This record gives sequence, C-alpha cells and structure tokens, in this order.
Amino acid sequence: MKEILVTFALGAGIAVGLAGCETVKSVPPNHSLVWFADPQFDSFSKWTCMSYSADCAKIPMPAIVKKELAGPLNGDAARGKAVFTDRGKGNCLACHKMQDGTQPGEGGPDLSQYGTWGRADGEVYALLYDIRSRNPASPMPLFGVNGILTEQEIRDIVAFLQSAK
Amino acid sequence: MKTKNMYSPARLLAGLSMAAALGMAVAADESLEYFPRTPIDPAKGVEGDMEWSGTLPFWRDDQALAANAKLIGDHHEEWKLNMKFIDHQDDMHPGTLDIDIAEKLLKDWGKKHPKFLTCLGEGKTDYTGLAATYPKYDANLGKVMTLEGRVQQCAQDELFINLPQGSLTNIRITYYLKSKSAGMPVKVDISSKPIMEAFKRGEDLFFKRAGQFGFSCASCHAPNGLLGKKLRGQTLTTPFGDYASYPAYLSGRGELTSLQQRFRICHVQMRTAPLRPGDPVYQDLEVLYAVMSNGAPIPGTSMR
Ligand code: HEC
Repeated sequence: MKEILVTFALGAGIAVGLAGCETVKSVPPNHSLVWFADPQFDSFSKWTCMSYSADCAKIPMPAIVKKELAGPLNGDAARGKAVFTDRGKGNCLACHKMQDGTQPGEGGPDLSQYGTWGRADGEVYALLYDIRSRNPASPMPLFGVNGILTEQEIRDIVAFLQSAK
Repeated sequence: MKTKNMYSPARLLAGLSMAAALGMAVAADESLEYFPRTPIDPAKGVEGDMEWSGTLPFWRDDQALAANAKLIGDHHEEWKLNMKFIDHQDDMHPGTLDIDIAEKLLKDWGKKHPKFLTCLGEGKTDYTGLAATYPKYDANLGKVMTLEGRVQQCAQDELFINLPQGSLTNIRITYYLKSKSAGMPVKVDISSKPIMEAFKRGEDLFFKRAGQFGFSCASCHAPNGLLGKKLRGQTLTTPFGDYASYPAYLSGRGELTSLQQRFRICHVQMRTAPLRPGDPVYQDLEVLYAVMSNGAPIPGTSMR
C-alpha cells in the first residue's frame, strides 16, 4: 500500500529533474494520498474483496453454517447489552429498535420485546452466528461465521435479547 | 420470502454465464457470493430509479427540488431529496474554492504547456459540455477513460508529472471540468461496446458480497436491501443520480472527494479491502454509476 507514495514522489522528482524550471515545478499538496497507506485496512484482506487481481479476491464467502449451541448458554445480559450498543462491535442499533436504544435503525425487526417471542436460546444463537442459515438473502452481518463477535459475546447477546420484555 | 424467485435455476445460470463471458472467476454458488439481483436497464438511465427508490420525482431537477424544499430538515422525508438540494443551494461552500484553485493551475500550467489544455479538451480548450460525455472509450488509447483518468493521462503525457486518481489536484481539475457542464445532463454513450462491457462488469460487482460483514453495494442500495430504510440516523439513498454530483465537497471529511474515494469509504464501512482510485474495479463501478445517472443534470459544484 505504500508504493504509490513512492511512485508519486518519483514522478514529481523526475519531472523536476528532467526539465528543471522549464516544466511544472510544484504540485499542490496531495492530502488524499494519505488514504493509500492506512495499515488498519490490511486486516480486511482476510475476507473476500472486490478486486480483480488481489489475493483476497480468491477467498470465497464462508459456507452457510447452522451452528449448534454447545452446553448451557452461560450468557451475561449486561455484557450483552454493551456489545449490542457498541458501534465497533455489534452495532445492532444500526438496524434494530431496542429498549433504551437511541437513534435506532429500521433495517431489521424491532427487538425491544424479543424475550416474549418464544425463541429457544439455540435458535437465536444460530441466527446470530450466521443469519443465512434461515435467510440466505439477509442483509444482516455474519457475526459468528466471520468473527465479528466472539463466541462469548454472542452468548451474552442471546441472554440480553431473551431479557428484553 | 419476496426474494425466493431470485434463486431460480434460470437466474443462477444467467448469472454464471455472464460471469463466464466476462472471463471472471465463476462463483461456485451464485446465492452465496451474490446478493439477490435487481435488474438495471442501462437504456433507462436515471429513470431506472422509478423501479428502485421511486424518489426521482423529488430531485430530478432544480424545479423538482424547489417544489419539495419543504422536506429539507424533515427527519423522515429528507432522504427522498437524495442529498441533491445541497448541490443546488446558492451559498458559497469550500468546494467553490477548489474550482478557483484548479482554474489558476490550468492557467499557469497552460502557459508553458498549452498541449496539456488541449489534451484535457480532446483537441479543444473550451470544456463546455465535455465532462457530461465521460466515461468514454478512447479508441487511440484502446481503453475506457474516466474524467479523472483523462486528467492523469494528460498530466503524464504533457506535463510529465504524476497526478494519480484520488489525489487532490486531480480531483480539483476534474471538479473544475465538471463545473463546465453545469446544468447539462450526463450523456454516457451506451451504444459503445467497451462502455457496455464495463457497465456489465460494474453491475456484477454491485451485487457481489465482500468483507467481514458479507455486504454488497446492493445490501444497502437496492430495493430488496436496506434502501430507503434508516441505518442508525441516516436513511440509505438511491445509487441513481450519484455520479452527476461527484466529485463533491464532503463536509464530513472537509475535503473534495471523488466518486471512487466514496466507494473506498463504503468499502471501509463494509470491512472489505478498499482499492485505489483508478483500480479497474472502481472504474467499472464508476461506469455503472455514470450510466445510472444518464439524463441527470450535473450541478455546478456539489457538496454532501
Ligand atoms: C445491517 C442491518 C442489521 C444489523 C447491523 C443487525 N441486524 Fe439483526 N436483522 C437484520 C434483518 C434485516 C433481520 C431480518 C431477518 C432476515 O433477514 O431474515 C434481522 C434479524 C435479526 C434477528 C432474528 C429475529 C427473529 O426472527 O427471531 C435477531 C435476533 C437479530 N437480527 C439480532 C441482531 C443483533 C443482536 C445484532 C447486532 C449484533 C443485529 N441483529 C444487527 C438486520 C440487521
């Protein structure tokens, strides 16, 4: 990701070197070049990408998983609530209404009474792990199968959802 | 489920054979790698929005925007204006300074390098209406050129400097050239075979899932996705008409921003590897977006 900065520096350098004052000497600052070199984006290459040539393009989407809940739930509703709200974690409010949730989105169903829906823990767990196990065309993120949330975080959210009444 | 029919064997085959015809990697399972497709008719241009968000009558031109100005500031309704009202306000905004800077640059550079100016204008130095015809196939170069690609190529050929796509100077010149088509409708030549090939690749990309979330562009911007729904505070708008308004000054970033940089922002939000402006993938997406803006008027200066 760094090489474009080098290319740019070279390009400008050669231009000046070749023809001195005769050619374009200065190019105003290219702030946007900073965009090319942000290392945090490299971590995204673990998942399939839209490139025609990069290695990440060869990574397939994960197969659909219908994940079984192993053992007792052992979820902590308070921790689950924190993960649910955290924009860098579940960011569930982006699409779902929830009690005490501010600025909820409307992409998914209202979950504020979810505890009354009568869903078994294992069923909710499987939906959060990979929503495609029920609806392959869903826009909901693949929280478990793509490692957005940890196993424990999903269990905590299930406990939180079941407590929403 | 409304999307069931999207998985019919016929659709699956159509998708696969198209990918094969384009020489791309053929996905093992269409339904796994792609969001269910909604057809995009290139001949309809921006009118295609009537089958997508249906908001076109609110923002199609200045008159429509004036008639619907009452929606500005309405938390539930404002999204129907597709952010176009910001482009059309008369107030000075920082983006207008970028036009001045670009104009001065061209004047200075043009003194010693007049061929740079004629290169940008495909032989002419009157740029009126020029930007509206991009992206286009350049028979001499044998490739599809976006306006930013043209700026980069002319800078390379005539000034011997590298003005990469996505660099501020390149975007400023692009923005300036676009302002010379203010009020004119986008008119990409869809009778051009290379343009249509790029369009088809771009359409395929629009539905391709990627990244940690497994989102596609369509997940948020197609009618069977979240289009028109609130994602946290913001309602997701139609992809039709966007091309006409880019580059745009993004007040959130505080900087002039190209369409392909905007694609990058989306890709970061989707947690998929963002590409460089000028990447063939972004170029194909830009052609798709341009065709989806065919007929939409280009604002003088845009802001988001
Ligand atoms: C991008 C939008 C989006 C985000 C973000 C999102 N969801 Fe969803 N969710 C949906 C949609 C849409 C559905 C409808 C299910 C479908 O697509 O079949 C759904 C369905 C669900 C269901 C199933 C309801 C049922 O039928 O039992 C649960 C539970 C759920 N979401 C929880 C969550 C949690 C918890 C989070 C955060 C960790 C979350 N969602 C984040 C969009 C989203």
